[in-house]
Amino acid sequence: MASYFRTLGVIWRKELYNYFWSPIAYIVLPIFLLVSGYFFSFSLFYLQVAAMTNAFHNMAILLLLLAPAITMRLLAEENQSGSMELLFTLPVSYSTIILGKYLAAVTVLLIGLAGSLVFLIPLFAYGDPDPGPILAGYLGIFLLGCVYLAVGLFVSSASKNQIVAAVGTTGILIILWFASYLDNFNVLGELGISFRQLSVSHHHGEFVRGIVPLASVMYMLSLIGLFYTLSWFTVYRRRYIA
Amino acid sequence: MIDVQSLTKKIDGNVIVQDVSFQVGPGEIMGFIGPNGAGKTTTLRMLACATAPTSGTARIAGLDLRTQDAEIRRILGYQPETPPLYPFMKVRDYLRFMASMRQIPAGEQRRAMDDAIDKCKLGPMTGREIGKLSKGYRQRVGLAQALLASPKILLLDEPTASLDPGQINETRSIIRNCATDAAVIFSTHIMQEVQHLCNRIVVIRQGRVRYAEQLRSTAVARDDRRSLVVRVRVPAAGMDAVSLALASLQEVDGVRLTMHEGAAENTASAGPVGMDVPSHSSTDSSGNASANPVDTREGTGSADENRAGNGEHIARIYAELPDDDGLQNRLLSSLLGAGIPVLGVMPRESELEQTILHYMKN
Repeated sequence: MASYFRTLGVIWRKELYNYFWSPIAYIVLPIFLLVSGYFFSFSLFYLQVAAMTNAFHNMAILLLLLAPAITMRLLAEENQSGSMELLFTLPVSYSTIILGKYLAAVTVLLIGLAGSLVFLIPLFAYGDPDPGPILAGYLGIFLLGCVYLAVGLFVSSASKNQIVAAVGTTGILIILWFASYLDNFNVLGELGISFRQLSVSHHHGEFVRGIVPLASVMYMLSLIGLFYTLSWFTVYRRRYIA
Repeated sequence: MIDVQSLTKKIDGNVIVQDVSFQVGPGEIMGFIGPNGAGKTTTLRMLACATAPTSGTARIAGLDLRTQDAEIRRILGYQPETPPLYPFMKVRDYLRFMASMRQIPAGEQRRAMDDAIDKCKLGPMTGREIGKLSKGYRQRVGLAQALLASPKILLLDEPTASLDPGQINETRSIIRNCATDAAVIFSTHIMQEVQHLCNRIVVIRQGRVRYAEQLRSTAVARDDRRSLVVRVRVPAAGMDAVSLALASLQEVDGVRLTMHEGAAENTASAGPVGMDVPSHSSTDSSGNASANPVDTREGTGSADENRAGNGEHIARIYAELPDDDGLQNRLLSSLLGAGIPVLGVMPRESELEQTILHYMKN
């Protein structure tokens, strides 16, 4: 068990190192903080809303565009260079390798979110916000980010091309985000199926409202589990088809 | 150590490797030779557990490739064709990463890394970023990571490709040193490589093994010995006369002589390629193989053809001698003195080269 976590840690560190060696972290993190800071300032100073509600909404949309940039290289880069194949000859399970990579991407997300904590300084300085919804909102945006990254992990596992991985991820994320629109067609309404319940935007909205519904937490965790498993399967399958 | 049994791989319905079998023992170096696209890489990938065989299996150190790959991975060192390294890492960091990934205990990593760095002569480069290394050094980093865990099985996919002559020599000596306790398979399309380095060769073309032979019982070619092939016309008295002529030489220390008559050779050539046959009979199959491209008189060689024209057999004498002109002269003069016509003498390597070429082409 100890050796499992040591191996996981070694993979995680290598991936994280790669983020900061390549320009990706230096592009994604400042853009995330600048743009979300821009919207936050607008909401705080112009709309005079002393809450993080708008900021969390904006971050969710922003991450829709930035998460694919974080995940695109995770497996696609090593699929392309062939180093993935070498990793898969080592006495380390596929799932450990994928998990280590995923956790590195999650770490980049956490760094971004940690950076956004500076927004709280003017918030508490100029207003008297309720900390509850802020905590719920951070949990929500973190889980949402993890879902995005899991989708990205999966698409990256299936591709050798980072651009394809990024664009593919964005596509799936947009569908997941806007799935609730399908409810307006009322096609499956008769069956009692609600696309709203299947849409990440709906569940994220719950957290932003300041509540932490178990269903939404489970929904997010299930999506993470689903796409992680799909990634593992994609990698595993390649052993038999190539 | 490595016992490959009818390994087959199909990708998208195309047969890439078909029914490949061979064996390699500990301390042996097997040269895996064939034209580009013959299936060398795919075979090595299967043995390295990078891809699963469609059918067939291999036993590696007694472990089954299909069911016990987790254990096999621990005793395996694999260097893929193009060294897939991380350009952002320094050499030492990369080796440390791979040492951890190879599950070398933390306390032993430093020694394992120093060993590998030393063997691959990477000393001056350990602090450099891999992305800034020359191709030759990158190749060596790829070799170093394969050596980290002192593997019992070493699989090297064209380890000398894109190296300069000096580096090729160094890489060969590294491989030679590894073979003291490991079973080594390396693929190449350079024939000289095989002769200098291997005691076994397997020629593969279009996914099938075309030729397999054990060249020497020892893994390492010894500079103090020479191997010759002497072709003689078998006298009317038969092979006994040849044996008699060479009897005194047989008794000299360090001399090994094996004789093969033309007819026998050609029977062997009609059959399937013998794999891991004991050295005696494998020499046999090589003998017939070389007959084809080299000696037009023997043609593709049926026994009849061998007799044709002169009514006599042709025989090959495979001689392994200490590197001594006197002994070589004694061998030839014994034959001539007994009235046995010598048709040709050539180094074993040249014959082998022609054999390999022949099987690589058709």
